[in-house]
Amino acid sequence: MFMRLALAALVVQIPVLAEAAETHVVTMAASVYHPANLTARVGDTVRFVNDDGTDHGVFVPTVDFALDLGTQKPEEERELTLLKPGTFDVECTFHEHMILKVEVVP
Amino acid sequence: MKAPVLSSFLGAGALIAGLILAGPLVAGPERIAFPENFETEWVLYNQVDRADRKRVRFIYVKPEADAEAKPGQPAPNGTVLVMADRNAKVDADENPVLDADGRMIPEGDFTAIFVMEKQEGWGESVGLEVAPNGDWDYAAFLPDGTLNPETNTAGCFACHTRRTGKDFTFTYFQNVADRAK
Ligand code: HEC
Ligand SMILES: [Cu+2]
Repeated sequence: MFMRLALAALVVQIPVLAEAAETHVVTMAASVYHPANLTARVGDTVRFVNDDGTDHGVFVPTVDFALDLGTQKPEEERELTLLKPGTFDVECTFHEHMILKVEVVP
Repeated sequence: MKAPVLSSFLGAGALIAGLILAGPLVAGPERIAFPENFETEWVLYNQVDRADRKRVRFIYVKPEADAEAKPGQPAPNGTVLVMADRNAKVDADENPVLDADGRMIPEGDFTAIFVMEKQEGWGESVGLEVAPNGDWDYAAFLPDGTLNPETNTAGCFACHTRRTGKDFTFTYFQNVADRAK
C-alpha cells in the first residue's frame, strides 16, 4: 500500500521536473572526459568543451545513437541535444581510452 | 661500435628489400574487390550521423564472416566492412534536418564507398612495422565501383591504428560486443 502511494507520487512529479531542460558540461582536459558518467533527461543538452591543449572528438558507436561530431580543436565547444531515452557511449576518435557513458532517462 | 651499426643497417636494408619484393606487388587497394550487392545482401549494422560533414554513413558487414564473429575477439579472416556515405538533408541555412529522434535524414545516392577487408597474411605483406593494423587492408571506391584514384590508403591505416584495442575498427568490434549483451 505504502509502495503504491510512493510510486503514484513519483509519477506526478516527473512531468514537473522534465520541463526544465538542463545543459550538462563535459570537459576534456588531460584527455579525460569529465565527468565519466552522465545521467540526463530527454530534452537536455550535453555541451562538450575542449579545455585541453590537443584535438579531441565526440564519437558515439552505439546503434541508434551513432554519430560523429568531427575534430574538436582546443577551446572549441560542441553541443548534443538528447531527444530520446537510452544509454550510449561517447568515445574520442583520437584517444581510445577516452570514454563517457551517457544514460538518457525519459 | 661499428659492427652493430652495420648489422642494423643491413637489417633495415633487408627489411626494405623484403617489402619491395613481397609488399607492393600484392598489398594495396587493388586486392580488395568492389563489394557487389552489399546494399541488398549484406548486414547493415550501424548508421553514423556525421554532423560535421552533413553525411550519413551506412555501415555493412559481409554476412558469412559476421556469423563467425565473437564478442571481445578480433574479427575473423574474411571479414569485409563497408561504409557507404549519403548526403544528409539540409534546411535553407545548410544545417542538417533532424527527425523526431534527433537523427539526420539521408538523401540521394551513395557518394563514396569505403571498404576494409581482413585476410590471413595481409598484414605481413603490407609490413606490420609500416602499418600495424593486423591483417586489414583498405580501399576507397567511387559510386560507380571503380577505385578512387585520389585516395592514398596510408591515411586509412593511420587513423584506424587509433583503435588497437578494437581490432582497428571504430564500430564493428563494439557492435559485436553490444549485440551479445
Ligand atoms: C581521420 C580518420 C580516418 C581516416 C583517415 C579513415 N577512417 Fe575509416 N573510420 C574513421 C572513423 C572515426 C569511423 C567511424 C565512422 C565515423 O565516425 O565517421 C570509420 C569507419 C570506417 C569503416 C566502418 C568500419 C569501422 O571501422 O567502424 C570503414 C569500412 C572505414 N572506416 C574504411 C576506411 C578507409 C577505406 C579509409 C581510407 C580510404 C578510411 N577509413 C580512412 C576514421 C578514419
Ligand atoms: Cu581525445
